[in-house]
Amino acid sequence: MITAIIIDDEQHCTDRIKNLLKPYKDTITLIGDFSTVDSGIKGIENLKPDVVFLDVQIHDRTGFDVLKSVNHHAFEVIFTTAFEAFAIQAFKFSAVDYLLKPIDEDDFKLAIDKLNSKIEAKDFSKKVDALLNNISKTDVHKKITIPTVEGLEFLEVSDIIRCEADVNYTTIFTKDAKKILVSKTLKSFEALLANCNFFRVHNSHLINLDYIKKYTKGKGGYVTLIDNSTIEVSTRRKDDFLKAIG
Amino acid sequence: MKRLLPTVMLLFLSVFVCAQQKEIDSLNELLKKHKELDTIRLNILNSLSYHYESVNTEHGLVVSDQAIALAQKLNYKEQLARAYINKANNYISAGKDSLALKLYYKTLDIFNSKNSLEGSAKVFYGIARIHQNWADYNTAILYYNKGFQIFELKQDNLKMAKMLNGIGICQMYSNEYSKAIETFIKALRYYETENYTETTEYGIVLTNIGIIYNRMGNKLNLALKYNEQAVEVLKKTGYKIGLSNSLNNLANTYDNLKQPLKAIELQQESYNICKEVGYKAGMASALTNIGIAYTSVPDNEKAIHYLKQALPIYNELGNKYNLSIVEYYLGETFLEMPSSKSNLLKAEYHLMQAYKISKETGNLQIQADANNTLSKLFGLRGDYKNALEFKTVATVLKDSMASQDLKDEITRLEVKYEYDKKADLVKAEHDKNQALANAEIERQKLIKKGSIISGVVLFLLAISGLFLYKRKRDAVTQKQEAEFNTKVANTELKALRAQMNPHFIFNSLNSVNDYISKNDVESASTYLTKFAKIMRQTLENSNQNEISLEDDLKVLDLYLQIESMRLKNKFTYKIKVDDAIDTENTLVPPLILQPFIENSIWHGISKKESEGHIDIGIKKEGNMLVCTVDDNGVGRTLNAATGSTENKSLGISITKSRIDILNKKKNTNGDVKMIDKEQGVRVEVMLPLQLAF
Repeated sequence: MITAIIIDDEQHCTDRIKNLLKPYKDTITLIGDFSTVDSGIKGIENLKPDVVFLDVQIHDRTGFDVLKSVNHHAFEVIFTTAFEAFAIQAFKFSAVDYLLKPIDEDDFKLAIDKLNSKIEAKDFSKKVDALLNNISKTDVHKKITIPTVEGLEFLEVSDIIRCEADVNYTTIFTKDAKKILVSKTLKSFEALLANCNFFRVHNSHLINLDYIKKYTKGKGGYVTLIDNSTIEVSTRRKDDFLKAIG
Repeated sequence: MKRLLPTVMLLFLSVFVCAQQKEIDSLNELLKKHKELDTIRLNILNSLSYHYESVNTEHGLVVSDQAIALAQKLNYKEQLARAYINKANNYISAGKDSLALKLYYKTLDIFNSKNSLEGSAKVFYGIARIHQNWADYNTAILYYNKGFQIFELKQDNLKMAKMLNGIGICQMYSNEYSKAIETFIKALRYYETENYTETTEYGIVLTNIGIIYNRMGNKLNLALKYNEQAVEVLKKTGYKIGLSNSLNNLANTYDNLKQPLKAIELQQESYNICKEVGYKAGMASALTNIGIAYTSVPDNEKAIHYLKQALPIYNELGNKYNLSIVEYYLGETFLEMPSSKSNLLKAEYHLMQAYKISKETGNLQIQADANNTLSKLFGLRGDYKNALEFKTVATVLKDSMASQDLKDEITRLEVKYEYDKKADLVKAEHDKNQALANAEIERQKLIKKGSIISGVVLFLLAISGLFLYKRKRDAVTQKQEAEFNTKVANTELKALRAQMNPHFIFNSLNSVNDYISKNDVESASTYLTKFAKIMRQTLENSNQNEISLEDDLKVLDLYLQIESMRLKNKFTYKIKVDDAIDTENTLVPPLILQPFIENSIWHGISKKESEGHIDIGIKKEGNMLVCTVDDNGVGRTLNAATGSTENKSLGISITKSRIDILNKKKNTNGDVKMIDKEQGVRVEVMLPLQLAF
């Protein structure tokens, strides 16, 4: 049985989650709900829930303040938010789950399913560290959380030279010449890194524009990156690419 | 045997001036008038002796002696020298060479003391002539050359030619035929330079060339040509001796061509001329040659008749060489006559004479021939002992002559070889020149071709350069134009999308309102949540002109969910994407199908009483993406029949505009087709297939 609490300053939002949790009463028990940051912190420390539905905006403070203040992090967090773009990016980077309000039944189901499949939350404190780091930092110094075979890997965006697609996997090439194989599509990385000066030059290649050493003209041409790898530029992407590096 | 000595060559040397009786006569007139012993008379005497030289040597000698006496008396050295020369020349003509030589040396002393080069040259010429007569050809050539060098210094072409003529004669006697011909031709050229072709000198050189060709035996055509030319020239000049000699030579050529009668006729003519001017050597020569010619007719009587006439003249002239030849032919001819004792005796006598005289002159040929014929004669008499002796001597002579013959043969071959070689050289030279000329022509052609080609190439380059420049310029212009158009199109599209959103929003809000009014809070909440989600995605997509088909289909799916919920599951739907399409990599304008689906739902399905179905298909056809919306609703015809106001859907008109703009922008032919089916409507939207990568 999974125990859960809700921290949200709006009653109708709390009610909505309660409603949504009804079909899962056999697996998830709601053991408390709080409407302020402080009460939430106390609630976490006293109740020690497995999962916290955490609102981002709680009066004049945030859900991140809750995370900063709690001492132990042996729980999963599912943020709930209406429209905080900055926060959503941070969640994505840190691979922290979130639900958008008004919460869709289907989305909620996916989140609960994911929760059930997680055996333990041993890496969560690291995730939280990454999240808290990402909230405060500029894009390039943000860290992305990458689930690998061995566990979670935290990579600073500026460490990534390029990503290469391999069907449903992606290989990440880092500055220190490491290759990391991730079971995520290149598209997901493109979505994640598009605002960090990354550009998908080819169906199979996402590159960090900061690390281009040379562009060689051609039909589409190709770029040489600082690790001396040469990456073909797709003909259709050439114009956009040139605009991006222009 | 007969053909062994077919000719007696009579070569003459050119003289300074043509002898003309007329001139001699006028000079004699002058001499008679001018009796005073002064330089004028001396001059006349000298001129007269000079002219007598080739006409009458006896008179010439007398006159020259008078001149010498007068010159000595007047102590006029130049004229004395002149007189000496004239006397010497007359001596030579008379065959008294050694006397002439003495006079020449005397003259040379005078010229040396006077430092007169020209005078020396004349003397050298005379000395050369004498050595030539003595068959000392090397010495003769030496003196001719001395003369030539002096005349060359004086740039006297005519005298140079004369010296060359002498050298040529000496070379001919030395059997150096090709050299001789070369020298003679050089002489001809000098005469031709001075336009001195209708003269005795020129004719003489022609004669000499004719003689050589005649001797070579294999160039008789050339011999005939030169001899005829010589006869022609000399007839014009009126130099009788020369003419007789050239006729003699022409006759010899005919003889060689085995036309003895023609030869005899010409010799006769020659003889008459010689007799006319009292040129005894010429007469003798003509008589001898006529005689020899008759032996080959054969007419022995006539042969003997003519040969006998030649004998006393040669005796008188002391020309033993020719004398031995005449004697031999006489002997041989007598032997040819019917064998009588007297004839045999006469033959023996003449042959013995021939042998004796030829021994003196060292003529091996005649010696051998004479002995051979004598052997034959003694054989006829039955005196085999003597016959054998003569035969033995003949054989020995033949052997020693054979080597001479061999030498001659070798010489002949050498001459022939040199000739051919020269001909080859000339041919090679001609070929070379021809080749050079051809090469030059080729080169010119090549240059011409090259310049034409390079011109054409340059022209083409210029044209293509212009073309490329224009294309590039056009491309730049086009690009700018295109960029501008894109901007306009994008703005228009954005505006259209902006119109799109409220349209959708208000439709949705109407639905929510519907739930609320029916007091179905639960459904309203779910509906609104879905609506929020679709709004979120639509807003995200609206920033972009094109989104991936995958994303667009997600939104469509969401939209269909909402609508089916609102219509209480009155219809089912299916989205089918062709396997050939990579939804992630295919780009489409966002929500392009949405208005058609909306139309199907609200105008097709909602009015239908039974449950409806909508099929959405995405296919690839060539380079077009075909999106279809297929419903089994009431269709447009029914709509028209029921009379319900067929408002032209705002969404559809907007979509059509979007596609038009897209066509303009991408230069494609996207299209929308609405097909009325038996039941329902089928909409086909053709879009250009665009790939992200």
